[in-house]
Amino acid sequence: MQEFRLKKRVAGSLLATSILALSMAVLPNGAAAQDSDLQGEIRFSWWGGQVRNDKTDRIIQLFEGQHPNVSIVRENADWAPYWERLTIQSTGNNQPCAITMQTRWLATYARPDILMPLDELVENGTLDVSGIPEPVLNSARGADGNLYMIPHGVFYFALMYNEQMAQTAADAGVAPLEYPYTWDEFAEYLTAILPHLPEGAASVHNMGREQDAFVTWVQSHGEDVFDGSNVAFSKDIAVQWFEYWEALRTAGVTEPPEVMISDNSALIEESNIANNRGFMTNRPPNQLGSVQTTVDTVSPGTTIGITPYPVGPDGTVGMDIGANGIAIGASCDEAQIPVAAEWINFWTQNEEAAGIYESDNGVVSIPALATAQAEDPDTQPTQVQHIELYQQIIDTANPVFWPAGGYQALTDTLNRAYDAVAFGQLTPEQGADQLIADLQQQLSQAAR
Amino acid sequence: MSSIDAANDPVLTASETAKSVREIPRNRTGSALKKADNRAAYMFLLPWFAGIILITALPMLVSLYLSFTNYAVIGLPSFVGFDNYVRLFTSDRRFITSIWVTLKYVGFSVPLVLLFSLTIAVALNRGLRGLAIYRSLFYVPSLIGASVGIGLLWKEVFGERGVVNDILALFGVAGRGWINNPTFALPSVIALNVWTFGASMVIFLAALRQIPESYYEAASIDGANAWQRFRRITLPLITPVIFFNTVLLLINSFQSFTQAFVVSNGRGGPVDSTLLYSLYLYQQAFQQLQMGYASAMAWILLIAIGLATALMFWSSRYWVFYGDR
Repeated sequence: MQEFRLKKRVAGSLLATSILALSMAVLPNGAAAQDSDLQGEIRFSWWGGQVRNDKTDRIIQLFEGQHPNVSIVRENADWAPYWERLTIQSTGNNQPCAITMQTRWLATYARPDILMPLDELVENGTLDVSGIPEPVLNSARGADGNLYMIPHGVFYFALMYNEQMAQTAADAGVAPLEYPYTWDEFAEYLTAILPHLPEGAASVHNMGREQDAFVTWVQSHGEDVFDGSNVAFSKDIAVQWFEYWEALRTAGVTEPPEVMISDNSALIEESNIANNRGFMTNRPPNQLGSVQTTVDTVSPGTTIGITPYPVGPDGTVGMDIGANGIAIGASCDEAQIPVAAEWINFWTQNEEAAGIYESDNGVVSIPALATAQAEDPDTQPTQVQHIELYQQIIDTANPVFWPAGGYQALTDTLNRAYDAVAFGQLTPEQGADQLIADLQQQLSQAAR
Repeated sequence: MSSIDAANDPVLTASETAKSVREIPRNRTGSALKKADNRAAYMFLLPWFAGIILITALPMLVSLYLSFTNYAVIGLPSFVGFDNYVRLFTSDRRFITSIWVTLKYVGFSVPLVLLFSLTIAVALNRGLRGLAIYRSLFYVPSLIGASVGIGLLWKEVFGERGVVNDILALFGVAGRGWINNPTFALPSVIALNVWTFGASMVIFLAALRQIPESYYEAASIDGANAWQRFRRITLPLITPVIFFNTVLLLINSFQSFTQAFVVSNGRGGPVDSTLLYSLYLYQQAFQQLQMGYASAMAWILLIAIGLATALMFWSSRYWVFYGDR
């Protein structure tokens, strides 16, 4: 009997300890103590559309509910104006305390007079980076080795396709595309599927001018895109890229250049894939949910799937991945730093916040949270696809270190070079020469 | 009150007027009065001076300094002498492209706007009923033409599935993505600018209404036909207004930005076909963050506009008729 009581007491203690441990694990770092002393106001900036704004607002309300003496001023903008505004703010030393940052842009801002180096805050435990994989964390370091942001989401680029069109082609005898597939197999499939598409529809959006596709091409052929602030890829690889898309274009597999340009900047509701004018395109998979919602309205009954980019001839995966995170502005007042740090901890570590955000801006960087989201029956199926594909490619992806101004430079120069090739103004060789010369010029200018 | 006013004032007699003049303190001589008047004038001008110094002159001086520096917005500028200017002319292919695109834009836009506005003004000057309504209708695009909204509308109108192609389809003509094709993109932007001819038209209309009707009557009696009356009477008499409109349009066209920015999503494409000078300057300043380089471009633009305007003034002596010379 006494033995039973002891066992019961031990079991009770274990249960109490387990509950305590579980509650500590579920609650955000620092929130276990409900830090009522935390007070102050900080500005938090992010980019994105209305859906992301709503989710962010809910997370802020949740945080402010847990910290009644804290106020977060919302500063949101669309993608391009976001960076322009941050630049102007940085010039005037008026940047927000908490700044959403991206690895592709980090090199431009990763300086101690603009962003606060965070290593010390991590070392003394003010910032909690537990669970964030080391490679993801290291991608948030600047050229000087300092940690400048805490990643909360890992993003990648992939291909979206019309599942019904794929099924129609499969029913007609076209062998489905099974990952991993090479670029040549990809082209063969797109050519084979063309006769089975609705009249006037192209098999694929012309990606000759798309930098994320080009980066994948370069890396899957064993070359680097950048070497510091220099162009690292060869002329041959650029020539082959232009020739690849020109061959598909002249065969009618992809659209004419005018359509390519308009589809490149089209809203999703006007895009070819949403209107059954195209089978496949490249869009960030974190937009799959909003794309599907739009497609449900524009073309009811159509479902959109995602698949990775092709691999190189020897199976090399060339997909780039990047991270979005939160940085602390160098102009942030010392009294505001604890608030900013707690806000970052809440955003990156809190399961409820992660659940609200649903990996909207990249798959949540902590694998356990990503798995929890994928397994949660309340998570939208499109987000589950997004997370599952991420888990499929994360181990083989090849992150690019983007130099200062590199993202903008590659986007601009590739657009111009391939447009000139597609409109017949330059040969692929001349286009490659122009691409490399212009890109090098812009990189050198940014590095001056 | 001036002496004339005082003399005419029925309340003041001549002796009172003389007394009031005598009461002026001895030390308030004419120059003292002048100084007081000047002070008042300067006080009234102070806001304007403050504006021109703080908002125009000072930023211009800073921009001139920055044009000799490498200044990436983030961080401090470093002096590089004439390096920016040298690089612009020796190693920047797009800078040269932007000059050519701008010259084409100005070269077509300015004459076309003048032609359209003068033609419509002449048509409206024929004593049409409801002139005010027509004048307002033609003027409206001038008010809204440079707006982002109209740029977006133009993008839709000339787009792949735009109204222009719908109309062409009615006649069995296959359309295309006008603004997405390097051959037609710049003409589409020029067409948008020409559409905003209303401001020039109103000025032309005012000038046309100043020409005495008797000149035309006399010419008609002498057997002049409509073209001869226009060529020999109207055109010479409105040359000062043509000159005025040309100078204004020239300066505005060199600085055109919004329409090309909107229709090309800020890229100046396709294939740099709409890369106007101001758009490239903007890209350098706010997309590539090369503020020193962009400042050098701004000063080159200022000098170019100054030279073009000076050339217009020089040429005006040969073709502008002021009537009093």
